[in-house]
Amino acid sequence: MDISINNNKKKSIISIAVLFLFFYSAIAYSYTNENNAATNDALINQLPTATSCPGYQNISNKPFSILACFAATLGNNRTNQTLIRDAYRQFHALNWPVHGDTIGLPDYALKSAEQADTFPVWQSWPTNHQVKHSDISNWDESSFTVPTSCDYLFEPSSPRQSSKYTAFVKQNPAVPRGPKIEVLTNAVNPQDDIVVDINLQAVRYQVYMNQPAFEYSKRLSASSDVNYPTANEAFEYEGSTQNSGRGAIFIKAAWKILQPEEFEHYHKSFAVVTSETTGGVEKCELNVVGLSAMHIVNKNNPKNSGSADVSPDNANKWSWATYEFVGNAPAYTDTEDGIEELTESSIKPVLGNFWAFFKQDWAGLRKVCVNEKGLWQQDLPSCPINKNGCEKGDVCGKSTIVVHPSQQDINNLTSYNSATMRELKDSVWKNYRIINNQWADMGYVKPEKLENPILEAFSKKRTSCSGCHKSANKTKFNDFIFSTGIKPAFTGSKINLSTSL
Amino acid sequence: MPNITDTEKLLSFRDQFCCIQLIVAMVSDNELQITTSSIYPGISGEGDNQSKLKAKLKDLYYLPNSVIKLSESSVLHDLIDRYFDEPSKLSSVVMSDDFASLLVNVTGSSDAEPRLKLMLGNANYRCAFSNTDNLDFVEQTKLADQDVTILSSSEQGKLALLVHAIASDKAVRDDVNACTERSEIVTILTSIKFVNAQHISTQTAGIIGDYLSCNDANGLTTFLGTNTYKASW
Repeated sequence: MDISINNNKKKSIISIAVLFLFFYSAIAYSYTNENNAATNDALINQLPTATSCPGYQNISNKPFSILACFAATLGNNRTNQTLIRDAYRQFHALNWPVHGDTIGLPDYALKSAEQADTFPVWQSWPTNHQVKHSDISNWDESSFTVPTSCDYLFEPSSPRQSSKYTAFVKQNPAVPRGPKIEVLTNAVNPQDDIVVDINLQAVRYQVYMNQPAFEYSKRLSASSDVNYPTANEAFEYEGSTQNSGRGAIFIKAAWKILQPEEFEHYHKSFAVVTSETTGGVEKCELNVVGLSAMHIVNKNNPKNSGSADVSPDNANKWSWATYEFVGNAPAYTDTEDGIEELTESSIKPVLGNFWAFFKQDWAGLRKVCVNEKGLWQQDLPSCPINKNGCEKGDVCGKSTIVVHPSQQDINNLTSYNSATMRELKDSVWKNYRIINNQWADMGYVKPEKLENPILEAFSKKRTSCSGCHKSANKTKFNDFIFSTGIKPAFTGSKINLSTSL
Repeated sequence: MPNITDTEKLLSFRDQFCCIQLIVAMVSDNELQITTSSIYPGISGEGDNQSKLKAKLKDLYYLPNSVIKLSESSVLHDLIDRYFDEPSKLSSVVMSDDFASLLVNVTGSSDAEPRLKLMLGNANYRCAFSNTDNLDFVEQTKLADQDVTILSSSEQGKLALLVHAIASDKAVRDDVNACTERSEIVTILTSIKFVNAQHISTQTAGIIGDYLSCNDANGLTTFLGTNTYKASW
């Protein structure tokens, strides 16, 4: 009898496994079948359909579900709470591991929450740098160009020996691998500041774009108005349901060069990182970098139809979600009178023994940052808090960053961020939090002020993502996106990790 | 015994009090708000799953969180006593199934935002600022054309708590509605304390004072509906 039960169990398990493999083979086939455009679109854009995410409707109504798909738009009810809900969902969906060496296709068969770290979908997307320089012509090209100064890293040192890159990858098995590595050449943020960690390494920035943003960007000309594709809801047309459509998404990431003792807590990636020597020569190094902060800018608010002085076409239809690594820097706390202050307990690191962007002696810091009234005043000339320690070309001192905490939606943000820690307890992604998600409605921007301490460091006053990006529309409507159009190709060597290494 | 028409009107008024109770539950209980919010994307359109989700939203969340204990609402208690000749044996009231279904259906509709703002605005205005002697209250049928102030999220939550406080306490409600001067209104609204001794800001009280002092019921309904919707849904 026992044997019979076991055989039945075996049969069931085998049947389930076969069905499972069949299902995901079907997905893979759908993806490669060029005739199946709607299916491909749903799969590549992580839209919640029966093909890409079967059962989505049954799971997504449970709070804090970690899913590979996410809604195209903010939906019929747009409130700050729904914006934070969608900031949570898009973050976890876009951090889903990419399928093998494909570009932009999540591995739907894996459970993201069970991975210690992932090579996330968005990291496989083309970068702004690649698009500007016409480095690739098609969305799914996995080749990318590295600067000439990096060539030596990919050349075998002798016919029998592997390249420095291959050896480095072998030395660092905990770093997720995917179709690309990071090519980080920019250490200056849009405010012309350089953020430097406690190891005296400058943060590097990169911008990535999804397929709708990529396809539109390829056609951009410098003179015409810009209007990236906006997401749309599913709708009925001639008796059949048309799927929802994904809008343009840009992700901006800030990467920090990691020391081995920091690996444990960060989402990591392999990167070639360029810098200038004192003699003005470009040098290139291979590093493991960790994600310090990111924005997800998603054109998912089609219902913002403008206001009295803004036409529907020129309305801000983006949401601006921003996230950070929890170990970046301590935060001010508010006194009962609403005055920001630092306390000795608030500067204790939350991960490991150090903050990434704050290393100060408590007594010494008080001496230079507390005024004669006993209040913390970061704009005192002697106080290093939130001040740019260098400009491009200078030798930089370490930054001392203190976070201005969000004043809005605190309970909601706490719930979602606690859920991330709980649901992803075995993953490095638990160490990232939503700061907030800014959006525009009837001429109002909510929350009014929002800043990321790494991506918008050193701001003198509270800043606003969309407030700043409004200035991109100055000379013509540029859809709130700073873009300078296509530039000549840059020199370097084409790399394809799947074939050349 | 009241005539049937008055009973129906009173039951309809009851639904609006229960609606205020639901708003406050969602503003006060963050997990409840998050749970209901996670259901909203799934209730648009038709199909079996949408029906199940709508039933879940109504039966598990909207109805149970709309219950008002009459011992905690002297305004509702007084109304029931006034319109029913015999002493009330009721200890609590709950939103009607029809009203809860309507709320759910409107929430899932493509024009959810303006419709909910109007529904909640009417409930807020009627329960806190209308004359309760008049069961023939005429609701606003559309939102005001002019832009309304959108408060910060913390102030939006306080506004929902303020309306609930006025709509629950007969003495407070009578005092507020006896004021006609803007300055008087601002003073009394900022003096009303709710959970953790919170109160609304002078600026918010001033906005309400502006609407009340010039009898702009449409403007106040729009302001209340827009801001309490944003705090709770």
